[in-house]
Amino acid sequence: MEVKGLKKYFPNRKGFFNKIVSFNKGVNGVDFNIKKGESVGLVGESGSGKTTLGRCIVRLYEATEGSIKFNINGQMIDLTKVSQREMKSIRKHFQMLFQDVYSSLDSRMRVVDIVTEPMAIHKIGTPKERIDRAKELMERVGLSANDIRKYPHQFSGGQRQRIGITRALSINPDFIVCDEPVSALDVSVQAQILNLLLDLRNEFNLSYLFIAHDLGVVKYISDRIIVMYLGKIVEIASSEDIYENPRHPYTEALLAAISKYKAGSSRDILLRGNIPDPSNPPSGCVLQTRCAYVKDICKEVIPKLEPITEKPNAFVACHFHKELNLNCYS
Amino acid sequence: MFIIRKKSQQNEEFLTLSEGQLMWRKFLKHRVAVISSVILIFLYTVVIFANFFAPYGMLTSYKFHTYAPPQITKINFFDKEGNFHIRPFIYRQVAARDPKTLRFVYKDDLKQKDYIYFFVRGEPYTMLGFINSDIHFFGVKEGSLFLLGTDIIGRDLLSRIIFGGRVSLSIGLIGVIILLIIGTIVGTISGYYGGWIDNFIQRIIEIIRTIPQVALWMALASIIPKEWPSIYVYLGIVIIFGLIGWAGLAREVRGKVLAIRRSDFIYAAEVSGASASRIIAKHIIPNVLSHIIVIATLSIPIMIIGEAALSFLGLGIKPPMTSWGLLLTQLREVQTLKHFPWLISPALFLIVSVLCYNFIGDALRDVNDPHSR
Amino acid sequence: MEENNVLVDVRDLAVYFHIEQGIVKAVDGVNFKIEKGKSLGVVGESGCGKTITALSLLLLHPQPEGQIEKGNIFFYPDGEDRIDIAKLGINSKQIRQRRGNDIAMIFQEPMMSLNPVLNIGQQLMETIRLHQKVDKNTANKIAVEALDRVRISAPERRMKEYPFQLSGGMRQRVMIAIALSCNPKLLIADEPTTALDVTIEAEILKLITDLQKELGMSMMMITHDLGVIGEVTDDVVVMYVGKIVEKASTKKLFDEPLHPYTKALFKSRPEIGTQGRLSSIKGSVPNPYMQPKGCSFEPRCEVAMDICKKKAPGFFDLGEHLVSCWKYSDGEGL
Repeated sequence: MEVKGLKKYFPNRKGFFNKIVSFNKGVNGVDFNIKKGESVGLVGESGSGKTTLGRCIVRLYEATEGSIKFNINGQMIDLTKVSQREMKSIRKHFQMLFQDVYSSLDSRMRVVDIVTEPMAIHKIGTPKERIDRAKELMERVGLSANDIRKYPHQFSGGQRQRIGITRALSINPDFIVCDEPVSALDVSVQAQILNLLLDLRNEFNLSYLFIAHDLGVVKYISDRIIVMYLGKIVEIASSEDIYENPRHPYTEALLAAISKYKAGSSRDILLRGNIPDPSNPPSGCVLQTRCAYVKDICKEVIPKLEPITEKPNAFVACHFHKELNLNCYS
Repeated sequence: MFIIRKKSQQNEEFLTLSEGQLMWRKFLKHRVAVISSVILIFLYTVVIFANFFAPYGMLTSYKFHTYAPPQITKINFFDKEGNFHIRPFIYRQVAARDPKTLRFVYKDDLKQKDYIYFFVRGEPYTMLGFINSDIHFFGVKEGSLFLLGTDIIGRDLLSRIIFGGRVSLSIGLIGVIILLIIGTIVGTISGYYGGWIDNFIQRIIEIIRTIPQVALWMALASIIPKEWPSIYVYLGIVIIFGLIGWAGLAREVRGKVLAIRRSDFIYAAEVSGASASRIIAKHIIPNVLSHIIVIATLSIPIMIIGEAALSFLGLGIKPPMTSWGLLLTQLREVQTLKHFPWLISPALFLIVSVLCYNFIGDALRDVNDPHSR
Repeated sequence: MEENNVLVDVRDLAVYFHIEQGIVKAVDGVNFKIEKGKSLGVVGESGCGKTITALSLLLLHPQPEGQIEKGNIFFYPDGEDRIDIAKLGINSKQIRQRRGNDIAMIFQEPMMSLNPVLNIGQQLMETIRLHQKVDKNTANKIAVEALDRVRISAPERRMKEYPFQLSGGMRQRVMIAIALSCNPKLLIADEPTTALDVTIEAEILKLITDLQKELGMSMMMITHDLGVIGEVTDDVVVMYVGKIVEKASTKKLFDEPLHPYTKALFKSRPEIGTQGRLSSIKGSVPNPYMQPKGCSFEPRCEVAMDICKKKAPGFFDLGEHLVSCWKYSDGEGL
């Protein structure tokens, strides 16, 4: 898939007539691509726009501007230009996993109905065939097929996420947007689900956009990583590179904020202040209000996302990325 | 956490119950509501099969028994000599004219015992349009049995109440069904689509709600042509109730729909390609249904009383049909109540049914509320 | 540990929940001490009972389902005799005197713990005036100082703001300010940074540790994140389904985790530099309807032995490092 110039603005309305006073610039101009079979991580903190971006890509939100091109059977189709009716058949090709395992399953439906719904919507197979496939998939993801008539509240958090994965796989998608699927789970369960997602990717040749705020989790599952801040991409690099050789001050700050897992250790705090209001982002570089290396030019000129010459498919948006020698904190 | 097993099998089965079944079990714990349900079921059965349960016809009058007092207190098992009879009986009530007031005065003829029989033959009837019979649930073979007394032209009040119950109890039910359908559809569309549709519908609802309900009822009721036969008037009233009442339900439904509209499971269905109608039918309405049922159950008594009020004021049901409200018009003057107090019994039936619906509605609301779990 | 260094001494505490299907042993006989000026970490996954343990120190565990079945919570306030919190009446005057005053608590979700319709100043002053007999103006000054101490900029202006106007990190700071406004002896922190971004988490943890040293306060830090434990705590207990399975100083635990569950927790974290598959613990937290007779971790343990199925292990002391596991039974049995 190929995303260019994607923007998503949310209007802020005030007053009796609900006039628009400003826009919350959730995603503010984003370009990237994902190859077939690639797993790309998307990292950012709250307010970065990563969830909004994930939802725009699958057209849960209508993009304000920009193009989202998706490879359907050899043709690059721009999702922003497709009608709602045409979208329906395109939706067979991608799916989504959600963070909140409690609200992502309809609590009034049995598991069998939840996981066969995508197949029912696209009229794939007979009802019996759908149930057989559902049972097969449940066993594959580590659930017992005998539980198929149970209700979501009878399962633990990790099991519910597996039900979500079963639902996503049921129609054989090419691409899955994983919106923080393990953030709400216990650490030991996270490991199980991450292992499962990796196995499934290899087995079914899936592509992932894996959204998370935890760099450790993302590194394990991604080939490349995109770092977002306040609606913009600040760095794209391979998993190895992000951790060994960060090019953007924000990436460095994220690495510094990771716990060392040693007794008596502490973390360096590289960012000052708070994240600005997304309705009023600073002119110039988005990180200027908090960056430890800020200079005058950062306040006036927005740094473009430029390729890093030595690394293929790697980009950074910083005026000083060549000069700065950032610490990888490993 | 470990649970000391009380009944292991029951627990497993307990968990496999759907939310609906869990709520049913919870409902059964509200004793008052369960009793209320039983009472209502009993009342509805009786009024559906009115011809069978009522000892007399709706319009049958006995001109020598006008304003007869109720005989329900006069049912005996022991006669004056102290003999016990298994079958209950009453002494025949004989009317005599009071020389001064020229009204009928009633005394019991102690020589004449009228035994009360069940499944007794009485007035013939055609029930529900196709059942022809003359068997009544209870009655006396000779003489008369006016359990709740008679009215000004000698019609048995109990029988009239039973027949009147058909109107009073059904108007609420049918009206609420109309209200439910309109309110749910409008509310769901308003909440699901949002934007200008939502705005537009909400403004209409607000306009409807600013008009006082009773006044609106009265205004619309007075438009009904006086020449219309009773049954049309009845239908007209029902439709009026439904058409006005949906606004409140629509707003509640919209609120609930808004609350779940942006839940992840709705997003999951959208991502899978579900159409709006599928999402509304399979995801939104089932999750809103229990809330709707509570509101509906609590709207029924409002309509029952509404009908009674309209009929009492002469704007509702017309004779020959009768309803509890219409029966109460006999009491427009206080003196009638003073002399013939049994004429107020329809009010008791009104009170009981309204209370029962309210208790059930309260219990349903408790059962539905996640915080009370 | 010397006796007069101890602030809280929990002995054999058990909290059971009496619900329709039976009895849930949320906390099943735990023993630990919190020393003055030091911080204790309680680590475990969801359902292990760590939050209930913390709540019971303030008698805030859910009632009436939850009851303290047995045990003592000895509290040693300065200059007073020791009191047993477990024996105080729920919502009695005595326990209310301690809450917010001697023992304070902060929670995971700051938006849920702050009242959305009161401004920050009102919420701060509520606690202050509850425990200190001061007039409004003095309370106001104390409140502003408290906000300043948690490094909130422009504190006078913030007093009039409402929770929705603040970011997650700021709200958490306000919670800390409220908790510390009466100089408590013990601060209980229940997953205070789990809901925050990692960069904010770093700041809040630094703030908490600085304040702890400044005020000479004890702390009980509850979390599932071993990283936080490492940075913030002096001693740590590991909990699993209502029981403590390992207890040691933080340094000892990180140097050499003993219990198989603790080891598995350390290994299943995807750290930078992990190669190959993540190791995970097979199975899941036990089904509440299965009641193993022996060790509660046995069904998931890689190194389980026969005796683990039959008998629950007690504690074995390997030199100020207690572990509840049969593998260490050649040490002293307790």
